[in-house]
Amino acid sequence: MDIYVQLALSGLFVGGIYALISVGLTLVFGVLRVVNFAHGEYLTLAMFLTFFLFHQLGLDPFVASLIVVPILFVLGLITERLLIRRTLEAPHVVQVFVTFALSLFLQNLFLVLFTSDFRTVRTDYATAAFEIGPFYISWLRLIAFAASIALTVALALFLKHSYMGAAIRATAQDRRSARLVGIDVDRIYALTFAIGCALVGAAAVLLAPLYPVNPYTGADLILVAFVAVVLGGMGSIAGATLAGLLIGVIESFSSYFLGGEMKQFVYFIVFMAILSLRPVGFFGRKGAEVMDVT
Amino acid sequence: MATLTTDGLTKSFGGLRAVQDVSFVARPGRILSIIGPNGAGKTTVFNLLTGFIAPDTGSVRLGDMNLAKLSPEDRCRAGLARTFQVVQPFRGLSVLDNVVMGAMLRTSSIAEAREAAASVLDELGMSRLKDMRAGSLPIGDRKRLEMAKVLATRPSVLLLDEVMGGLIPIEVQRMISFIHGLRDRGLAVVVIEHHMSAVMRLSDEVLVLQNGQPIAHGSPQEIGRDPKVLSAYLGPNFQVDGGH
Amino acid sequence: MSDRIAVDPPGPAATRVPRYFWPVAIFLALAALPALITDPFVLNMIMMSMLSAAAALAWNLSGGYAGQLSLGHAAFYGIGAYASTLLLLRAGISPLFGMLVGAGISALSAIVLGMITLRLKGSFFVMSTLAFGAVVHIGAMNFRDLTGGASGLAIPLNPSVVNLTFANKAVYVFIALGLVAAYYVATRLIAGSKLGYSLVAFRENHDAARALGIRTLPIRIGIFALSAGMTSIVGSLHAQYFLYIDPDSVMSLGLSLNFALMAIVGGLGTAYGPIIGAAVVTCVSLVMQIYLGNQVSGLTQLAYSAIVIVVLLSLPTGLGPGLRDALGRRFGWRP
Repeated sequence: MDIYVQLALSGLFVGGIYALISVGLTLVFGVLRVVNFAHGEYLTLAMFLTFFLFHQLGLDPFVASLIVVPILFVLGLITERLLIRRTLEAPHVVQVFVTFALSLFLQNLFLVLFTSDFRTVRTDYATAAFEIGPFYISWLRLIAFAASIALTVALALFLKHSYMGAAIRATAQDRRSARLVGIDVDRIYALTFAIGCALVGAAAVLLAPLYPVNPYTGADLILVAFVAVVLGGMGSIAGATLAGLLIGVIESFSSYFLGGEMKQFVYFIVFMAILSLRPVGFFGRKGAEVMDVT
Repeated sequence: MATLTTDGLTKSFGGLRAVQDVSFVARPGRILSIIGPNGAGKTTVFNLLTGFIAPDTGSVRLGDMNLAKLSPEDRCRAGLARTFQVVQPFRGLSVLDNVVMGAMLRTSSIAEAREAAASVLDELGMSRLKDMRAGSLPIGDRKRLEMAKVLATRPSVLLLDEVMGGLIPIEVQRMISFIHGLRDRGLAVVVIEHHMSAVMRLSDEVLVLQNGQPIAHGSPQEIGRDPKVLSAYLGPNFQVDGGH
Repeated sequence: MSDRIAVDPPGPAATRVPRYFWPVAIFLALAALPALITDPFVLNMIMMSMLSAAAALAWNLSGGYAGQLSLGHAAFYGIGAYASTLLLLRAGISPLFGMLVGAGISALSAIVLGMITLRLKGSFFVMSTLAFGAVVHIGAMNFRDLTGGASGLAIPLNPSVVNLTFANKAVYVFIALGLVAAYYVATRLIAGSKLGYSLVAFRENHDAARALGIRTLPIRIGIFALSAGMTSIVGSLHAQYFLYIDPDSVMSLGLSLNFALMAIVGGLGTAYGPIIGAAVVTCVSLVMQIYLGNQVSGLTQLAYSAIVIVVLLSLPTGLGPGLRDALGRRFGWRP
């Protein structure tokens, strides 16, 4: 029995970070109706930033977050202005392949700049842990989980209660009407995209002490986020969070019982199963992702 | 040619009763107009008839066939075809290819479909436009293209959703004669129209909807005199013979 | 999606050459190449672009005409490569037959995947195929007993027609050219048929297609399966040409992306687009590799992805239709 609880706990902790990555992706989709296939590369970029701040300046990752997150926010603004905005009215194929090519571009940029070596942020508290009864809990993972959930909740509150949040929600619902009531939709797009990048920046800071980084780290992790976003219902923040946590747990169980390499197999099968049973995901609105076909 | 019969069609969106208890019969060789103020539920009725939306209750039958389980594409194959109020051209394709998409329903040969499409375009006086890109047409031509695509499927019942919106008077007159021609060929035609004088000249009977409910049903003359209709929809100062 | 049309519109009668004049002339000219060129490096380059062109043509049937942007097609390529290779190595079955088995397996997987995912709108479908490709790749890496895992499988060099193995590499180029020609003709036939029109109708406007009585889901699953099977056959040929396969070379995401990008760069939803795309992309990446390649790894891909972004944003219909329009305006010439 204990082993199940232990597995569930470690799954949840990783799942918290997955959730944070997925929330950024789903927010951008919900508002701009664009899937950012380069989302994972922003994660990689932020992890590299965290690594170099740690390594060159000796900044603790948690301190570094004060620099990394704002940088990602600004990069998000720039990307939206230079690339994403140009694709919004373009054919679907342009939308998909521009962000995909951006992903390829960034990956290879990292490869040119940093080589494919793995780099690790080695903090002295990385292995600190405590025990509750039979359970062994890593401080770092617990904090990463707590911070992820806190940020997700903060985002939800911001969307629900602030004026900007209301404007973002209005744009997500209906961009034409939002424009009619005087919302500067272009600015909302830029802001939303930047928030998505900032969230993935925060996730990167929390991941950096736990995972080594190389140019492909983000690409490996982002598949989990895609699965979570679809499972949760595209555009649903609660759904993405729940699905992120769920995938963390599934992964933890399947790598224990079936071996680490099989875990992606398992969540792909879960993914296909859920898609065939409930294509709108947990919280998706009908019509968002399913065509009425016979 | 078949008769379209609807009985007690009702549909709510959330708390809003969009369509309530709408029943009518569209017979071959007759033109039925559905009129009513904006938001009266006219287009929703078309969506219910063609299967783009499922009704809460009520039935739709074409001849002896119950359409309830049929998808929009299968209803079209059965002979019930519609146009869209917001026209839906295949923008990137030529006008001819747009109509070919409809004509394909009745033949498996593209060469034949092209001939059929060309003759429909000819009937509508659009032959010289056939190589133009549909997305580049002005609105009047787009409305006619919408009509051409649908006619190419050779329907027995034709649902026309505001095909005269945006047309200039001479075009309206031509469209009316054209629809009369379709009627005389034996098609059952159901028309949604805002253009009042056109409705009066066009229709054999008129159904008036308000807030999703039928409030009157009769010949254009009866409707034109019906005080309920006059006050609810046409306004107190409306004159039947006064044009628009 | 402006200038992508289902069939080539008829040109002015006076300047019109027979319909198949240009394609036939170009294929005949290409067929002379392997006989004229003996340099192994160049021959290899031609072979690579033929394989790519065939795969891009297969991708384009589903991705270009129906707008179903799959990023998992490398899985089908890999299934083809592994199916024919394993049948040859384990059971001594001729790759000529093995490639058909692979095509069957690929088509069946595509039908199952399609039934689940082709109900989804654009981006969701893209993500599902991405996941499918990743899982097949992981599978090939991990079921070592069957696939040899990351170390791959080698095919012994026993030249014979039955083994589809030839000492002279030029033979492969002829075979690949034949495949490209067959796929091109198949594309033309489909594009000019009711099937092709129906797919284009779906791509251009789903609701309008339904309102005209076009049943789209079965034909979309069908074209996805056909495209998968055709891709699979190219994969088998790839294995026979290199006599060695591993998961990274025959089923990586990069490969899926390449099939798609060649079709897009050349001209999505046209029969000649994928061929132009494959030729241009192969030449450009080779030139870049020559000038940039060996200094720093990643530089070629970096330049390539930047070019793709620029092409997509400035010429979204692709180089083929773009050039064709430009030439048409300048000379009234329509190839």
